Amino acid sequence: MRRYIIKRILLCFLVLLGVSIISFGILHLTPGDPARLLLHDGATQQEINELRERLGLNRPLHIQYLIYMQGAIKGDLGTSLYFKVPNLDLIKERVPATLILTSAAVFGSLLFSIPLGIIAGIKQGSAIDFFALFFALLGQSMSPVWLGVLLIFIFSVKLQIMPSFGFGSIQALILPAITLGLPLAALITRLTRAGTIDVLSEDYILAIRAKGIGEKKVIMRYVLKNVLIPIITVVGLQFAVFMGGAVVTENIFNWPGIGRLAIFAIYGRDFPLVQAIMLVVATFFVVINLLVDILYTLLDPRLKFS
Amino acid sequence: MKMNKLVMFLLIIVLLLPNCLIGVAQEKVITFARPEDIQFMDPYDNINITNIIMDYLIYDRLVDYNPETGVGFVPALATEWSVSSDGTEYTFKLKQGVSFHNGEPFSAECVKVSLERFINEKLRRGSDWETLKEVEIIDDYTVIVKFSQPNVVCLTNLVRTPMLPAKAFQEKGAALFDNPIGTGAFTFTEWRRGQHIIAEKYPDYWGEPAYIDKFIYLPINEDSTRLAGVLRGEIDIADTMPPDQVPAAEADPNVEVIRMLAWDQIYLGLKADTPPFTDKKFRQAVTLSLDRENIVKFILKGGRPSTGNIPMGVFGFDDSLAPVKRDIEKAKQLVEESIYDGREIRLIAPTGWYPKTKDVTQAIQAGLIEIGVNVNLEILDGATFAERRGAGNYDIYYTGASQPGDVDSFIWQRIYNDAMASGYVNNELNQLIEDQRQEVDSEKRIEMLREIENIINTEVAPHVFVYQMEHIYFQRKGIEGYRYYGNKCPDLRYVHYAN
Repeated sequence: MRRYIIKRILLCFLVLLGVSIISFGILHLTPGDPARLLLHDGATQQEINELRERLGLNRPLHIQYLIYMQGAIKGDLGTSLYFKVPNLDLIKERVPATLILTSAAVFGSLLFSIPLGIIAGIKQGSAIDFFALFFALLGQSMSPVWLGVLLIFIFSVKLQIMPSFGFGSIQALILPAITLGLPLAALITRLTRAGTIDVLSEDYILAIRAKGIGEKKVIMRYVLKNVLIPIITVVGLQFAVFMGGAVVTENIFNWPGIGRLAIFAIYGRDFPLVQAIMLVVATFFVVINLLVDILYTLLDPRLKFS
Repeated sequence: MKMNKLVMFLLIIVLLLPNCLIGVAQEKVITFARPEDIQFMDPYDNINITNIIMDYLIYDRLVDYNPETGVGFVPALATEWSVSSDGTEYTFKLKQGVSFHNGEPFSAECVKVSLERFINEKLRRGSDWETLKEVEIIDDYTVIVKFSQPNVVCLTNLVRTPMLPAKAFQEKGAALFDNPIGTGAFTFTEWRRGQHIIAEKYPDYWGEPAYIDKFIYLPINEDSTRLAGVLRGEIDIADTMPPDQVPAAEADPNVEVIRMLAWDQIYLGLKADTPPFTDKKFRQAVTLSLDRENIVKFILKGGRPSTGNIPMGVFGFDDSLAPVKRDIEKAKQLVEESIYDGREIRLIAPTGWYPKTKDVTQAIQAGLIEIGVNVNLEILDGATFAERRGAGNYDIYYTGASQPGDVDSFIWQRIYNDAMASGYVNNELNQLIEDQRQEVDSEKRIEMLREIENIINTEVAPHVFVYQMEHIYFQRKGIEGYRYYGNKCPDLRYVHYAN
């Protein structure tokens, strides 16, 4: 296992290098001059050129990239062109908010969907099964933009029981977590239901029941464990995606996370900040992927590290 | 048992009492929301509206806009001023007995250190002060601000230039702005990026004290979230609201909708050095195809059709001018008579910068198509748009321009210096632009500005003005004190609930 982890960590560095090259390339190929955006609208070409010079944007691209990576290796992810503060500081400010929102969305989804999916799988054709299927369809069809605004309209404006934006309280977390988590909850419900039906139809379940083992134990010990394996993959990947920034949800609820910062940086062509965010997000991805793979093998002893 | 009940009763009273007292002596707070966050706190090195709004609270300036009329200037940290006959020297007498929030006294040295930053450093507002030569201290409360050539916009620029504490700035440099110190009605308390900025009432303010204890600024980008916040009462003032949110706000009896004319105008920039725009007839056809009245009436439901490059409310505005009336038949005739050969005309516009860009540009496109012009409308993200415009990679661009109360910066940067690469060259126009910058006689200057406007309107180059924008904000009923000056940077020092 140790050898496997070391190999994966080395692969992580390769992945991050690839991400940095691709993101740098795409960023600089995209039209838009950060110097022009930083200055007032009537800035002369001379003023723009002077600012480009001061910011080092006139250097050859490969030099700019090497300078950036030289700093990144030492933990210096550069300075934001717009905010004029270290990018790492900006990202560190945002990570807790994104982590809180992501965790609430993911764990909320799991708490709701796994029991619902299992019960729906056990009681096929029942009212609860119908509800689960309907919920799965609705959740995956709803646009987060529409859902978020709808939730604000109903619970904040009309019923006045939830804040419409904000950060720092459990109340302020509820609506954004639902907005972010609902599509995931819908997916997990479907996967859990399908997985439960599959497992329950296996011969070994029949054998276990024949042995006289209670239904509760059958579900908790045999069904749940098998159903969790694909769910962990989905949830792990989705957690990583959310950590990259739930842009729409953060924007609607004014949640101060990485997603909002990333969009702002992209629109403003704040190259160093975009690079920094992409590196950090890619790091989350590879680390979470590695953790998911390790968890996988712990859940299913048939899988070996290779 | 009786004793237990008594103890319980007393306990409840003790627990509830602080809450009752808090209810009696409640802090007066105003929460204000608009789209942007602060860029960074140096008031001299950013062009951000949010910064200007917070600067009004934390700092003072030598002069302010007249709060009654919104035009002209009133004394602030300067008690009086005079201008030399050639317009190169402004002498200011300064208010005595004023201190910064750290106790440092305000004096002539502060004015010198503040303004000479534009000479000593490369700052984003530096272009407003490019002719500043020096600030001479006559005594502790008298300074002369000297320019290398006549300067007619010194007071306009001073309204946006806060005074800094000289000693503290000399000691800390830019680090001073981590915890800004001014002489203003509020002190800076906290800035959590992306979340809020808090300023608290300064009890020893030299001027009229603020009515409230705390001002909270919330950067909320999403229009619908700001709307929900003000409807719910979480936000007291939701600023910079788009016109299509107005009906929802008007439906709420607890919310007021305020609409005011801004000094911003939307205009079309023409690629004047490229056919068919080299032909005046084609340019005239373009302006005649615009349905300014109906754009304002039906699409924006507010604003004012433009009459020229000087917006209403700005120095030199000519109220005798009327907007160009749409005349499709005449426009068609002019297109036929022009050198236009049917090629595709690229109209570019930025998304997200101005309200209803898509609807307005589609209306403009429709008008041009109606007169026989083949138009491709491209709505681009802001950065791409800015790059293409700056590189001259367009035939027509759609954009806006804000004014600080004087059109000098607009005509100097966008016409004389041709910052948008239109290729338009008019020596008479350029000479007038140079001359008006140095004309200290207001009446003569107004004549020059109107002549400039007349040339732009007659030549229909390099710009065609479409409409003057509105500034819309929603506030909870009962709020007073929002001071607006047309530049979309409200002075919020005295906002409060009337009751």
